[in-house]
Amino acid sequence: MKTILIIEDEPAYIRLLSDRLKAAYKIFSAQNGKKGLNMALRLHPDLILLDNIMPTMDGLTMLSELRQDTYGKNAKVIILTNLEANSKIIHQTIETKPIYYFLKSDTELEALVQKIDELINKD
Amino acid sequence: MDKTADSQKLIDDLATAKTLAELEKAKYEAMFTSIEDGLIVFDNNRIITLMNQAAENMLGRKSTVMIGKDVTNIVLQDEAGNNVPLNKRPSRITLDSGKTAIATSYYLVRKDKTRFPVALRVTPIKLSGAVIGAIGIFRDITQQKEIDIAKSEFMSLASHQLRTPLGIAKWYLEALSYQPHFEKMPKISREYFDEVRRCNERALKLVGGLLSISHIDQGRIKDEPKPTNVAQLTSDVIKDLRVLALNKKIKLKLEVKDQEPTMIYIDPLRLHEVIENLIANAIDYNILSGTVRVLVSQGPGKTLSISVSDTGIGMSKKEQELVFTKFFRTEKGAKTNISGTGLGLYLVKCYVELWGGTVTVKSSEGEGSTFVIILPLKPKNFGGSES
Repeated sequence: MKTILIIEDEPAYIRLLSDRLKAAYKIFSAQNGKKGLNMALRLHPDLILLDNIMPTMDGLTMLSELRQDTYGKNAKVIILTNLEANSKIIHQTIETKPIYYFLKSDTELEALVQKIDELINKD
Repeated sequence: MDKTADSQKLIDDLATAKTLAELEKAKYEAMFTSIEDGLIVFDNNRIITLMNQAAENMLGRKSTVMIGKDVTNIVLQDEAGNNVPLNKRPSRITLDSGKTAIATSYYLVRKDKTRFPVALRVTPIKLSGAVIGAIGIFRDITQQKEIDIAKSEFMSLASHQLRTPLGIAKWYLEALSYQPHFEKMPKISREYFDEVRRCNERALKLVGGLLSISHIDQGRIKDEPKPTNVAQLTSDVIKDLRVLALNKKIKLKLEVKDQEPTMIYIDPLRLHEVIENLIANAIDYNILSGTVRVLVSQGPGKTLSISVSDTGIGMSKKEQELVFTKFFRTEKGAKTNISGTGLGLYLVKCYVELWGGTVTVKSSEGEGSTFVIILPLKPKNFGGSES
């Protein structure tokens, strides 16, 4: 079974995403970027769902650190946030190469799940 | 009366007149001194003749030094720190036109080279119809600006904070609607559920609008102009809105007049948003089976015109005056389309004006409305910095 790591500080998001995805994937979660980074480096998940604004370490910082690692360099990451991309964020995302940037409040849950299914099975 | 008496009377009259003049002078001086706004009087050669205490304090300059000098020795700058060109200075405008000039986006530079944002008003002094000078009155608006910024930042922060719980609710509501037992719920429960979901979407839309506005107010929106084919872009918008139109059986018609190329150098995403707002409104506030006509053509001078007409509920004169203001909704409009935020047209106006264009409306109640955007072929790039 493929694995997904959800890095998100809102428990309600973790709960819902886990409930929706656990039939098809093994789900792990972390509530800040630092814990998420450690888990990602240890577990090498097939896909990471990453929030941006979080305590201790934000998502984009986590991602830029992850990209230094041999696994992390090519890890599949979807950024899932409530923050519209400004030019600073755009600049950071160009550098850290996530495969998707979703604005949570603009995205339907099922559309996200579809994208996850599609991306996790793509080589 | 003999000659001596005559001269005596003349001397007395002069003395009285002198006293009166002195009295008037004292009154004016007291007025000038007590006014908290900076006040500078200059003649039609722009030579300063008077400067009050408040002006001295604000500018860090002594009136004894400044009187007799050209008023343009006082440096006026724009936001970016460039000196305002002579012909754009309110003092010059007033002397040339004989009309009051007002400026609220400039900065005055103190003697020590520091500067402050200023609200400036120059009024002409006329004698028998001729302009003989002018009075400049100005006020330091640093605090007012700070409050505006704080307000915008608060709005942005509050909106982001609001977005999180609304976003969570959005996904839970969606997930609920896919639960196996959902279809088995009584009809009324599902209707209540739909109502909650619609309200949540409305709140999200409102928050999105507030965020856009706070970005505009903070000058934080980034304009990324590219060569854009307006006719093509308009046709794309219409395609996107086909489903919305179909729901109300509304015919969408696009006409591109003149074979002139409709390419302009503009931010395509923002222009898309602007045109989408206008056409979506024309659909939302239309009657069932109505028509929306979109016309892209050359405007007056070197401009491009985009007009959107509907056959909808229309607006009164009073409503037309207010339709571009923040949070404004017409009474009928609020009933026709409950999910409107009152922010769409405000955003349209903000963007269009930042590009140096205009947006206007013509309407009569019950007969529909026509919105016309006129864009310069070379729109201004309003840039803006992002944080």
